Amino acid sequence: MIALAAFATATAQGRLDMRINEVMVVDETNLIDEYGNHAAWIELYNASHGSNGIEKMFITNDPSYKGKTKVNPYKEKEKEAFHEIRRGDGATKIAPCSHVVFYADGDSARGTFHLPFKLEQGKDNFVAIYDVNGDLVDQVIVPASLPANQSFARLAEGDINLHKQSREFDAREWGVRDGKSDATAITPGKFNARPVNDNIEKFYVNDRGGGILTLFAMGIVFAALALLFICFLLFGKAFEASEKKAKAALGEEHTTEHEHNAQPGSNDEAIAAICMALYQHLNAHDVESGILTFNHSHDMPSAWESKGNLLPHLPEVHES
Amino acid sequence: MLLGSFLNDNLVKFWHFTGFYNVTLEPSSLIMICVGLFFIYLAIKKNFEPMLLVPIGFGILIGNIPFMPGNEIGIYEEGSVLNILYQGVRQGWYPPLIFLGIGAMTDFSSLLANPKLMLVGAAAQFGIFGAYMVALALGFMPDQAGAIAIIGGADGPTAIFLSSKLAPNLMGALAVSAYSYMALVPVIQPPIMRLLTTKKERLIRMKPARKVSQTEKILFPIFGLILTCFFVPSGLPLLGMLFFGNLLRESGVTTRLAKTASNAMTDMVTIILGMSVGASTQASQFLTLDTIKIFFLGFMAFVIATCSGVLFVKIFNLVLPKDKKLNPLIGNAGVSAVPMAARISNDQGLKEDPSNYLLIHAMGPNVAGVIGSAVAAGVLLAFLG
Repeated sequence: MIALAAFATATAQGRLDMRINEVMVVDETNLIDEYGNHAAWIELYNASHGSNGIEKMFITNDPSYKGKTKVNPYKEKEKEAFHEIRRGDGATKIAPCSHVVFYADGDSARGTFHLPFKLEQGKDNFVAIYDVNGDLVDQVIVPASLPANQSFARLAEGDINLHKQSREFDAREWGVRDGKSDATAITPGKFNARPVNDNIEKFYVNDRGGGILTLFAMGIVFAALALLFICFLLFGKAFEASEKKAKAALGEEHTTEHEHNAQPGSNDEAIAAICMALYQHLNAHDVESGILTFNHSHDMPSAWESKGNLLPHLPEVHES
Repeated sequence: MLLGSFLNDNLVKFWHFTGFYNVTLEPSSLIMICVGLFFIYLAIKKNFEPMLLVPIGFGILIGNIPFMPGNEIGIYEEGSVLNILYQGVRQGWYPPLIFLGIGAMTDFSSLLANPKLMLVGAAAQFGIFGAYMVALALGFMPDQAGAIAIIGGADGPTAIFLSSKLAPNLMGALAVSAYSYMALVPVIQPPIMRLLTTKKERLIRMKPARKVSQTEKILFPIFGLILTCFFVPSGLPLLGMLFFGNLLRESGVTTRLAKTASNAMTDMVTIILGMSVGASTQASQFLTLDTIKIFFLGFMAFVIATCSGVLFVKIFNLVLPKDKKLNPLIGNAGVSAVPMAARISNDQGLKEDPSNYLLIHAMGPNVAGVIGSAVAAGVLLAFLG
């Protein structure tokens, strides 16, 4: 019993060590979610030495839900503003000193880390997380003055001792980050987000017309296929040479034999006749119907007709 | 009284669940349903790429039936059946499987018989990068521009693969655009081919292809994989599967596997891929100005690819000996719409000379285009991914 109580306390304590770490209200250039969209985001940080499962915790943008422990599924407004982090998703287990990003895109159906509410530009945005029993875990008020593509973050972001800070919002512990220097870098957790590729920005700045990439890329495509071309040109020549050698080794004996045995083309015709006989023997009867008939064979193209189907017009025969 | 209230509550609740109610909240889904019906019409009545447009068209219907979110129904609702199927698109699993099937059903002997046709396949990839430049000029970011430009490769699975990596939010529009233009290849290419060639050039007869040995056919997928993927390892998922499928076909000892890969497996993946892509095209993301731009860019990509293929052959002819000249009408086949682009070369050749069959020759750049577009996708992924 004591052990169980100790475990429960430890677990609860771990969840209470979760902190809201960084928030962006208008994101046009930073994070891209798994669907490729930009949206407001809220980063949580596990400021403890143990993993924390955050399932069934609540996250809200409405201060009036303080202390609630259950979402009423029949109240649309409550469902939209007071979100219970769903159970059964392994990704809700946050490793020590790790981050998780929630997208405030107003569409919680998109996944565990998508919230049913949005953050609004130009007004103060309240964000809070509560434990399963309604205890406040952390809260923040993001000022209305926060510009687009800038984040509101804790000054001690990523500090393992962050959990020692008060759960009540203290504006002095927070600052605006514009991403222009290392000190003000925007650093949302990356495990469930696709950060914008810096390389793309570089291409955008240095290769606005796309000429450089085109030149490089076409060069690579050509080089790869040219290498294949050279390789198989050489292979082809080698095989042709060996074939000629083999033919030469057979000598004139074969040619003479061929001339004696058959008229030109007669061998091909014999093969064609054998193939036709085999084809008709194997395919002509409509077995499925149970009645032996040749009718079905009229509908099916023969091996020779199917070649003709590839070509819109059959070759004309010119008599000389 | 209590019973009446209970019934009323439940009827209201049920009404809120219905599509009739939800369509009033999202009327644009009706437009998408019309788009889906139009695709099905094109596929069945006009025979435009029916294997793809029927699943995509029906997928559009599935994805745009209005419903109340939260019941794990929709394609974007985590855990729903559609969402599970959609993972293959989003994570890019399906396109390599389709490439396995393409490899298993493609005969590269026309290319091996005349390896210089590989360069024609490479030249046509300029359609991709030409469209990339136009996309940048229209204001797309480089990663989005790259994903859009790959439409010029005329290869649906490659377009889906690349967009899932570079611009997943544009994937629905990209896939629909790519497949639409692939169906329209017979309409887009012939006027360009006639415009860029003289009658004399269209009458060029190419030397019959030599016989390709089985050993060459077996060596091709092995060397093809090594040579292309050493250049562009990022193209490994596509090129690896393409060449693997081809080795299954040509080895002669895995006929059963090759048959499964090229028939049953490809069919299954095509069904799921087409349906998932269609279902992902929801009105809010599809009916945008970007989609119109993507369709325009897709058209541009096809035009540029056709032009570059045909013009490359004309330039190439300047350095080729007289008896080895290529008919520029096979240049269009450098786009990887197999075998439709090659058939167009053949049709156009026959219009000029009813006994000049270009099909076998055009299949060379056509299959080279498949490799070329996969390499191009790998390059874009390496630079922009």
